[in-house]
Amino acid sequence: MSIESLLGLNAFSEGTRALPKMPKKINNSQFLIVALGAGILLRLALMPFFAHVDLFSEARRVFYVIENDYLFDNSHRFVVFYIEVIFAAFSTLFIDVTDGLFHISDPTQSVSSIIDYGYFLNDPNIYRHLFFFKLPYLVFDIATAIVIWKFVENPSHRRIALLLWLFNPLTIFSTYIFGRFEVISLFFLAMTALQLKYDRVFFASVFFAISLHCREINILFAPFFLLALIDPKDHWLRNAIVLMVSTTIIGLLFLLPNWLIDFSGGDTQLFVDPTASTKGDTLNKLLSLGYYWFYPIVICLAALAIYQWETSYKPKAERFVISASVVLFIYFGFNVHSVHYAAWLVLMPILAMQYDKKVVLPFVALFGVWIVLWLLKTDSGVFTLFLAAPLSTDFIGLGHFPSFYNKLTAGSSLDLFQSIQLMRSLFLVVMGFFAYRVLRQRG
Amino acid sequence: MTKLPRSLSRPLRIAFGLWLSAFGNSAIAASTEILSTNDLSKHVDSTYQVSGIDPFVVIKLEDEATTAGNITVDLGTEISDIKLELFFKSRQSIFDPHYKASYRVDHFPVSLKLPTGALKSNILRIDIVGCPSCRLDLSNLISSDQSSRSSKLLEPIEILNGLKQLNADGQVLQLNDWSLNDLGGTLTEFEITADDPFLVSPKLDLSTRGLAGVYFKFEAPSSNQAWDSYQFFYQTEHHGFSLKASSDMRISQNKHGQESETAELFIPLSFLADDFPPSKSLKQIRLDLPLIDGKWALLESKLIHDSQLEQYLALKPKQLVHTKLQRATGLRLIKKSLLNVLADRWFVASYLLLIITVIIVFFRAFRRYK
Repeated sequence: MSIESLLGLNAFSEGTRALPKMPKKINNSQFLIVALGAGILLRLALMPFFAHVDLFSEARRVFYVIENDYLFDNSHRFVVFYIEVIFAAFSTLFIDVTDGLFHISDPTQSVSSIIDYGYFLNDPNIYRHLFFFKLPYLVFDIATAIVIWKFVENPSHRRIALLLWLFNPLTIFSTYIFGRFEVISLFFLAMTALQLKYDRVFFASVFFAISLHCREINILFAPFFLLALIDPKDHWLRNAIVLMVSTTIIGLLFLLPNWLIDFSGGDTQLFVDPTASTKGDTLNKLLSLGYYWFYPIVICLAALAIYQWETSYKPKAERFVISASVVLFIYFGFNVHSVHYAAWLVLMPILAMQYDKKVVLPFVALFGVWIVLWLLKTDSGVFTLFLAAPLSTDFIGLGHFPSFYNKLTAGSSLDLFQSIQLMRSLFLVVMGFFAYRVLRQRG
Repeated sequence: MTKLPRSLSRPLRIAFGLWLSAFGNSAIAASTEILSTNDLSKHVDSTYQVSGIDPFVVIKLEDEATTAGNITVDLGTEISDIKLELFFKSRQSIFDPHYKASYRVDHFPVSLKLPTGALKSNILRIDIVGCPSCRLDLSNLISSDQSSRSSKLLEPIEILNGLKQLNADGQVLQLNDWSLNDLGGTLTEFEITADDPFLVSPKLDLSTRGLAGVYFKFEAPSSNQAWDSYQFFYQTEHHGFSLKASSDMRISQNKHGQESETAELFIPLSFLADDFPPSKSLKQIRLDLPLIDGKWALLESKLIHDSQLEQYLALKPKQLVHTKLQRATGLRLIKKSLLNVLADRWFVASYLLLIITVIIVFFRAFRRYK
C-alpha cells in the first residue's frame, strides 16, 4: 500500500490544484507529504530518548495484564489500554521482558516507586521500550493530523491547521517527552467532529462513546455533543429520536465494557486502589466547594449551553467544535492540573479554523504562557529546561528550575509563588482571548 | 669555625654514624625538628595533650636517620597498646595515604623497622591511633640510638608502599580472608542468621587504573520472588561503605524448581577512575545478600582487568543502578547518554534504518506529486 493511499491523497480533488494567494511552488499534496514527513521525523527523534515515571507506570500495568493473562479485566480507559496492550505485546518480539523489570507486586499502586523507575532508566533496552510504548501514540497522532487535513477545507487554513497540530509544543511534549496517551483520545474526538461534519450521527455517537473510554474529561463534552445533534429545521419528533438513539449508543458503549467484564467474571477493580476516597466523598467534596473551581465552571458551562442553543442554526459540527473548544477554555481558565493536560486544548481550536476562526495568535500566546507557567510550577524531573527527561536537573547543573528561580529572586516581591499566580492569571487571560476568537462572528 | 660544604659533610656524617653503629656506641640522639602537629595541644611544660580524633606530628629527620633501616620513637608516655602509623611520602605537605607503615606498640621507646627504601625524603608523619587521652613528651621523639640493638625491632603490621596495580589477568580474591555479617558458617557454606547479611572482602588497596569491575560466583538458594535484590558497596580513598556510593541489583531467579542455583555476577567499576572526583584506590568491597533461607556459598571472587571486560560483560546484571557521590552534568552527561545509546547496537541500527526509510518514502511521494 502506497503512502498516498494511506493518506487518502487521491480523494482530495483540490490536492493538485494551484492555490489562490499561496506560493505556487508547492501544491497541497506535496505540502501534506513534507509536513507529515517532517512531523514524523521530529517525533521519531524524540520517542526513544525521553522517559517519565507515568509512562513507566502505565507500561507496568500493561505488561502485568499480558503476563498474567488478565485481558478481560480492567475497564478503566480500556480503549487506550487495549491499544497499548497490542503494541506492548508486539514489542516483546524485539525485547526480552521476562527479567521482572515491569513486575508489580501491588497492582493497585498506580505510580511506580522511584526505585523501580531507577531500574527502568538504567535498563540497557530502555530506548527500545520507550520507542515501542510511544509507537501507538505516533500512529494516532499522525492519524489525527490526517483527520484535521480532511476536516479543514480552506486550502490556506488547512495548511496552518496541519502545521499547528504537527509542530505545537504541547502535543509534542505531552506525547513524546512526557509520554502520555492524550492523542488517542483526541483522535476519537476529531473523528467525532468529522462524522458530524458529514451528518453521520450514528458514527459520530460511536466515536464519541469510544473517546469516553480514553479520557474522563470528555464527559464534559457530552451535553454539547447532544445539543449539537438538534437541528431546528427538523421536526421535533425526528430530533427526539436522533437524541434518543445517540444517547442510547453512547450509554450502551460507555457501560458495555463493565458489563462484559462483570459477565465474564473479570475484575473491574484490578488497578483500583481500595484505600482511595470513594466516589461519594469526591462528589460531596465537589459540591461543597472543596474544589474551588467547580461553581465558576458550572456557571460558565451553563452559559455556553445557552449560547449553543441560541446558535442552533449553525452546522452540527461547527456547534460541537466551538462548544468543545470553549468547554476547555472554561476548564483550563480555572485549573491547570498537570502539565500534559494542556494538550487537550489543541485539537478543537484547530478544527475551528474550518469556520474561519483566527486562532493562531491565541495559540502563540498559549504556548508562551504554558511553557513559562510549567517551568515555574513543577517538581523535579517533570518539566524543567530539559523537560521530562531524567537528565533535566543534572544537565544544566543548577537543579530544577523552580529552585534556581527561587534563588535568583530571593528577597524580591516577584518570588516563585507570586510568579506562578501571575502566570496562572495570564493563562486565564489567554483562555479568554481564545474564547473571544472562536465565539466571534465574522463577516 | 668554617662549616664543611654540604656535599662533603653528608657522607662524613653518614660514615660517622655507621662507625658508631659498628662499634656499639650509645646515645647518639639525632636532633629532630617538629614541623607541625595536629589535634595536639602544647602545654607550658612542653608536653603535648591529645585534643582531637586525628593526632599526628610531622617531623623533619636528620639526614643520617633516613639512611638507617629503623628509627627509635619515644613519645615519653606510659601506654598499654596503641597503633602508630608512619606516613613517608608527601608532596607539598600532603601525605599520600597509600604510603604508610603501621605498628602495634605497647611501650616506649620502641625501635621500628622501616619498609625497605621507604624514607626517600626526610619528612615523616607519625599518627597516634587509639590513645585519646595521652599526654606526650616529644622532646626525644626520634633517635638513632643503637644501644637497644639487642632488643627486637618491631615489624610493621601493615605496609602500604603505593597502590597495587591490577595486572591483565585480574586478581583472584582469596576466600579465606573474607568476613561475614549475620551469616553463619564458612564462606563455602553459610546461612543467613539475621536481617543484615553481607560479606566483606579483605583489604584491597588497589589502584583503580585498569579496573573493570568485580566478579562473583556463588550458590544461592532459590526464592519464589520475581527477582532478588543484591547490594554492592565499595570503599575508596573518598569514602567508606556508604549508600551514596553503592550499586543495587535485581537478579532474576531460575524457574526450574531447583533448590539452589549457581549465579555469576559482574559489577562494573570502571567509572571509579573516570568519576568526579576520580577515585584512585579501591580499598575494600562488600556484597549484601537478599534474605533467602537456605544454603549459600561464595565459590569465587575476582577483580577484573579492562582487557578481560568482553569476557565478563555478559554477566553484568540487566537491572543495575549505580548510586554515585556526584552525578554527571553537561557534556559529561551527554557523552554518557550517547555511549548508553550506542551500547544497544541493534536498536541503533534499526532506528537509523527506520529514519532513512521514512525519508526515502516521503521523498518519493513528494516527487510523485510534482
